[in-house]
Amino acid sequence: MFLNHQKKKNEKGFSLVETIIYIGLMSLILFCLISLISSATRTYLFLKSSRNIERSAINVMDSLNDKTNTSSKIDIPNTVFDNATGSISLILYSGNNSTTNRIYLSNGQVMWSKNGVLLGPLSLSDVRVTSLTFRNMTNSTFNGFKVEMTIDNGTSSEKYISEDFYDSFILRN
Amino acid sequence: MINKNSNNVFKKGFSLVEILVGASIISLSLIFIINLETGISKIGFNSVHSVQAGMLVEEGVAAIINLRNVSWQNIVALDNNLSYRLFWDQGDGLWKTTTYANLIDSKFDRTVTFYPVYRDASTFNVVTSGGVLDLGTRKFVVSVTWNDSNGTSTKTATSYVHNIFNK
Repeated sequence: MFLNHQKKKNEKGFSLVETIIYIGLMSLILFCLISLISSATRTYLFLKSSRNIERSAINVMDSLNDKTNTSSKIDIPNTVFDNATGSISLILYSGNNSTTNRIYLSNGQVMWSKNGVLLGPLSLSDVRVTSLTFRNMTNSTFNGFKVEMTIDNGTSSEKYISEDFYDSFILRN
Repeated sequence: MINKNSNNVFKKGFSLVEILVGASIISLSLIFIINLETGISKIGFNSVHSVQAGMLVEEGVAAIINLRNVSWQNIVALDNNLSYRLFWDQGDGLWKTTTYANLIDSKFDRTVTFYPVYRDASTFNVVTSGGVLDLGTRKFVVSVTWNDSNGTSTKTATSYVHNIFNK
């Protein structure tokens, strides 16, 4: 008798109101879940982009600082000032020898060449350097230059980022 | 008998109240995680701004050296304990100072403040009290301030500039 009664109760299933409430709750949870996945994807792309932009800017400025500290003068004729697609050549004299480091913008990347030999990009391939401008701070007694650089996260449409970086360098010699 | 009771328990399923409580907990957890990710995004932005500010501080130090290289009189003309802003004069190709506020990229406020330098008469070491005023040296502090999600952030650098070219 008890078993039969239990079986009958189980066969009742859910009422319409219960089903609607359950579907509503499931929809709410699914909506939150989809939002979470979407948000997580955007956050990941954003953090990746901002980290790449940050790292590229540090790489370029550190390289310029390093080359400036070890150079004797700016090779003015082979330097492009006041142009968004800028280029700078720095010469180090050592006895009868000289070393020329050139840092320039090409196809959205900051490149480094030494004595005419391309040594590779200084910015990461995941970002695009949209402008690299050098300003001349050089006069008869000292050499120096100002740098203005804009980097964005390339073609990624997610959370578009574009940041400007500024620095100035003075040669020790 | 034990098996029968056990089966009954499993066949009962969840009550509506249990479902509501469970769903609420799950939803609140998901909302919390979404908010957490928004916070992480802000940290990413703060990090980029911190790097930008660090470079602006470095540039500020180079700008003061640039001013000194042109003429020591550029440094002498600046008052102590007064906040100056730097600006690039493209026509002259030189850094210059102003007392007017000029935000960089509408975000960063870079100031330079000069202080007198006193030295011990016998050791010539810089001293914080007493000593003899050194007219050929100035202490300066470059400070960059900006607002981010944590409020106001500041990066500073302190250095000395000397009249080494005597011009």
